[in-house]
Amino acid sequence: MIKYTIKRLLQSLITILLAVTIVFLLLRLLPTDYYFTEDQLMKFTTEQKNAALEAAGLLDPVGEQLVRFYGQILHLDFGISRRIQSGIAVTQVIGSKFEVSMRLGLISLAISLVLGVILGILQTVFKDKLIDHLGTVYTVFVNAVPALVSYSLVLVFGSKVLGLPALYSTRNVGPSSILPVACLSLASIAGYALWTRRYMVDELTRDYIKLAKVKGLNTREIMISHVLRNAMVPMVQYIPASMLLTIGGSLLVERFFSVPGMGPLLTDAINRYDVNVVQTLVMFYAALGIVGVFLGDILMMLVDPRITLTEKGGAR
Amino acid sequence: MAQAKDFEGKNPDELFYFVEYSPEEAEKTGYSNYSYWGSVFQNFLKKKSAVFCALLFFALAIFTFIALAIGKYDYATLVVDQNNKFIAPNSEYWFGTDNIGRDYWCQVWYAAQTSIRLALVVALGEGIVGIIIGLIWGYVRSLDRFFTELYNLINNIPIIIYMTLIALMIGQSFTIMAISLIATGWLVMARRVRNMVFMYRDREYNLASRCLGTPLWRVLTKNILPYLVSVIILRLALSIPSTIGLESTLSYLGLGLDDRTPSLGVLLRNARLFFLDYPYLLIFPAAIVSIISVTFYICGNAFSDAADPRNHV
Amino acid sequence: MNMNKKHMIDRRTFMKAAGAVGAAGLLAACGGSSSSTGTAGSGAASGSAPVVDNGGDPIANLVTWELALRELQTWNVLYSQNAADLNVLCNCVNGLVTNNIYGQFVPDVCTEWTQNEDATEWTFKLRDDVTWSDVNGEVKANLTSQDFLVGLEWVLNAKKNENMNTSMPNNYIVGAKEYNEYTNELGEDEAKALTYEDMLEHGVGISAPDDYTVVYTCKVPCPYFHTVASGACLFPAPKALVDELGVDGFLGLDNTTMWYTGPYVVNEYIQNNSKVFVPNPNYFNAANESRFESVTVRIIDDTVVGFQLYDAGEVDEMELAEAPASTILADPNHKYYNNVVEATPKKYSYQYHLCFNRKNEDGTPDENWNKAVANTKFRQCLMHGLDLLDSYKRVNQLKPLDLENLCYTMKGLCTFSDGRDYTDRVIELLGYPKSDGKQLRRLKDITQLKAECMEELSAIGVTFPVTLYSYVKAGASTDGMLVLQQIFKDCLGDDFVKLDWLNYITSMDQEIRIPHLACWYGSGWGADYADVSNFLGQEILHDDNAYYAHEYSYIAEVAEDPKDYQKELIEQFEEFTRLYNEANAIVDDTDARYNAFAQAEAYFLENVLTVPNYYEIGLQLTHINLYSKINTLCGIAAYKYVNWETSTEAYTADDFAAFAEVYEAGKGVA
Repeated sequence: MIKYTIKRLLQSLITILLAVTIVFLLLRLLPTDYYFTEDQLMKFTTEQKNAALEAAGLLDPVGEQLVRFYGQILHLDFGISRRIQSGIAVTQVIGSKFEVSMRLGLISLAISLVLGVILGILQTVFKDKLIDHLGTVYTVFVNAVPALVSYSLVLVFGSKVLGLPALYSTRNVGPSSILPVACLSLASIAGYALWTRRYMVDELTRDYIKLAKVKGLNTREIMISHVLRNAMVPMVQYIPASMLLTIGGSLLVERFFSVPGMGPLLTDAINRYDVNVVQTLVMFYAALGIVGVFLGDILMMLVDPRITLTEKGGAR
Repeated sequence: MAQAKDFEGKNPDELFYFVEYSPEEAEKTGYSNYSYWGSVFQNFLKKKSAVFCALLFFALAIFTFIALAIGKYDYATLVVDQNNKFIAPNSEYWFGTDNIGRDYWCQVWYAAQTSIRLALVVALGEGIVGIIIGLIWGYVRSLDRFFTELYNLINNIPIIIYMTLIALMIGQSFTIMAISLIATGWLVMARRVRNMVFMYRDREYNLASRCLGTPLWRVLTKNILPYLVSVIILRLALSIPSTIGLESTLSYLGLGLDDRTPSLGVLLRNARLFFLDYPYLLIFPAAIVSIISVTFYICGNAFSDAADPRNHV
Repeated sequence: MNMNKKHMIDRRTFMKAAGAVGAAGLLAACGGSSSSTGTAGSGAASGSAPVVDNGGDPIANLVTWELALRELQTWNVLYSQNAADLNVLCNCVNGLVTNNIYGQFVPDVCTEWTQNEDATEWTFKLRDDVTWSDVNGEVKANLTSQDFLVGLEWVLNAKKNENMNTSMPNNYIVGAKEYNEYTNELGEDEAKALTYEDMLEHGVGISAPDDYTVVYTCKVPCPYFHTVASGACLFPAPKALVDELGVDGFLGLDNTTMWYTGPYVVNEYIQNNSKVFVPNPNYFNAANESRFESVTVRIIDDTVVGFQLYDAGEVDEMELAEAPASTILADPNHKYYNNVVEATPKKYSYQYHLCFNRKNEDGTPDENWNKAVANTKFRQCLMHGLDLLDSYKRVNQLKPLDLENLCYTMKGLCTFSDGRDYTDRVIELLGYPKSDGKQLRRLKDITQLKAECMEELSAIGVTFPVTLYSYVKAGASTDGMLVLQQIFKDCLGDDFVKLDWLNYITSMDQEIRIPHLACWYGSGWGADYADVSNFLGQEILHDDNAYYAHEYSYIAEVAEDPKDYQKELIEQFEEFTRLYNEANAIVDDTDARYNAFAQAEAYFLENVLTVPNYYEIGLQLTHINLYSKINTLCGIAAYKYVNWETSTEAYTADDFAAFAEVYEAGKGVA
């Protein structure tokens, strides 16, 4: 087990490195006009553009840039942001933001996990009755309507009818977090409910459930001790990854409510050609994602003893 | 053979009679005309709501063509007229007009056609690629690590970067969009399939099959795949609205279909700026997307239930 | 006007008017501590009542907005070339020269400026009471002339400032370009170790004879150098701070490490969320300028969210997008119906730059278009035939006619000594009628012109309809293009010219402009300094600095090897260049200079060497008197939160009309 863990983590390091190298090269393929603001583009001549790019080290041959980049990584120097917060170290830029995203994300994850699973259970218990249909209506509509539209509706409803503050504000953290968390949870609740219901319904038709019913177990016990536990096995795969990725924040929610988090950072950095920020973020997210998948696999293995990840047990 | 009506009105003494020995009769065995897929469809058809939804979807798809034919304006000849903007639905403009005065009815139905086509193609492509890769990924141990790292690699490169490069180098069109979406969408399906395969691969019957030397493809298709049908169907059903949503986001970034081709995603994205004042601009495309999603979801769920052999009583 | 006067205040005219005036030498506004009340006109001695009393009180804690994509990127004013940054920084640091509400140039940290006879040497005398404070309000140092030396060295040093903001110093100051190139060649550490003494040794044209005097030496006579000094490139930098933070630290300034000379200090900054400005206790002009108790700038995703905020009372002004404007204006009983007023005009003058050397996508020249556009009558049809009113209506539904731009130079930038605006003279020369309130002034009946043009062009082998290719970013809304396409159809006819468009994915320059793929480019030019040469000089021949000639219209290329059908075009450009050079040579008499420029511009526009488009004036709902804001067409002070007149009740269109009257009246004073 330990050997497997170590082997897997080492391979993950290689994957991260590979991912960031690919991103590095891809970024160099994009047109360098991204680097300049609109005002600059209107007035700069080609020479001035080249002069600015050279000063930023973007005109050197790609191989040279790559080697320099690896050298910097080894020294854990992630570079300086050029267009997001000019002149400030990338780690500082990221550091100031991820706490906010993580807090909002974890709260929303907890809420949606609990509410979503409960909704899924209710839907299964009352399968094909009113509650099931209502739940279906909710999950499908949340998926069908585009995110920005549902957020706009939540905003209008929240600020006009409920009188909540419309934008996130660090002076008024509690009340102003309500609307963003609500938006984040909306879609997640639907997702968890939907898949919980699916997996539980699949379990319901098993033979051992029939046996349990015959033996006289009441519905509640069957649902909780047997059906839910087995249905959770494929579900838990995603939980560690979701938790870790809350750090990444949600692009749309954070933009919409002006939350100063990590969500818009990657897209903004790509749009503004702030290569240091993009590369660091890719490495960061890659690491998070890989660790998340790995933890998910471990968790799945723990929950269901029949699953083995290592070579033992009927290898092929 | 004796039938029940032969025994009506007889008293108990006459209920039994001797049967003569006949070699042909002795060889007859019972059989059941159980066919898996036959039962699946039978079960599916029993659910009224699912059948209704399936019919609704087909009706919608066909109507997109009819609607364009009976509409008053032809999409190719729409006229821009600032004086007509933001007119609510009335008898002249059945769905009203948009912010530059063009008829909304034909825009919505034309967009519906494009979106339905794109969503179906992508869902199918994602499904096929995802299932195949997921099965192999989950079953063949030695490839597990390779695929996991591949999954991690693709997952972690921001989609914007390579969609931008594709758009820059190859161009934009329906086919390119479909292929790009399939190339990124198979990940989700493959992961779910792989998780399920993990659960079933070491069951005793599979060990037995492997001992007996059953070839890989047969083990996958006959032993494991049937357990996955319900999950696969649900995932396919969900990928339809998610494709429309993703296409909308990509269009917003300029990486989607070219701007002469309307799609529901584009209409929804445009409507976002206006809908608080003119809700009908949002309601019509959203209603169509919702109908598509609902029908697919209900059919998908019903199909999943029907595909479970334990429901085939 | 005598050029040797101490204060060279050119009078300029503006579109909007009224409000308080607040610069040294002019009337003192009544300062209360936090309330910002305006004085009526500039003639009244001490009026402290607001111009318009609409029942509201002045706002003490202003809340305003900015879009997320215009969030600030750097806090170093010398490094920034981004309007979004400068909008914040103008409240934090001050330069030599700034503007007042009429757009006139007034001293900021200097007290006066003088120039020598041929305008090559400019002397600025500084105030002695300006201090650098840190974010907590503690005084750190005094502003002296040394700071300007340090600032210029920083800008010119390629390894320190990465060649940002170098174009104006390189063009005007003696020795600047050489020093800049010298630092380009040096190694990084060497260059970073250079100081202003090294720069002076290299003979750069700046000197500080004493602690409160700065002298600049220009390469060529530059009668408008004081306007150049209002730009970010000539701002000061405190030596003590640069030494303390080091080069990298100074480049990576943020609001807590920087030093302030301006009216406000930013004591709270959360990127993508909000900024809070509080008054700087050591501001040198506090007695003459009124400030808010605090200003909060909230970042919003777009104006849809913004409108919700305004509705909830969480922000004090908001620009109206198309849909809310439509809804409000369609219903006279809407609660905001009377409050829709015009927004601050953007400082750009927009034109359609015609490309005279278009190429097809395979690289071959598009002869059809090139022949057509070289024909004067064709261009005149475009100018006088296209009724762009529908296009303007999408920007401003209330008064779209106000948006029409008939000139090339920006309105309000240059004024004659009698107060007339330069562009009025140009329009007079061109002979346009006054606005009739119904249609654009440029429209004429072009049937005759069109017929003649088609005849001439068919004779040299042009096939009709000619396709005019424009461009649109992939994914952006094509509404504007569709409206324009309809305008072409209705006004010019599908048998004559058709509009079509190309898409670009990320970079207009590399995908469309450099391959010469578009037939015209709709873009706007904002002034860098206050002289007509800033605008017209971009279009002349035989000048490497003529930006549009080299990069957009490609007339410079055509001039090297003109085809037969382009000979007439080149002749026109040569004549224009001649008129321009004549005008540019006049450095001692502003009126004569502007008159000569007006002749050049009128010639330019008569032959439609560019198609003027519009001014961008949107609509807004606001609690702030627009006319009390500093108006700058070049320079960075437009967002300075000083002397603003505000009210807790939203202003109406009538209020704004009253403000306009007072503003116009106040303009007449010297």
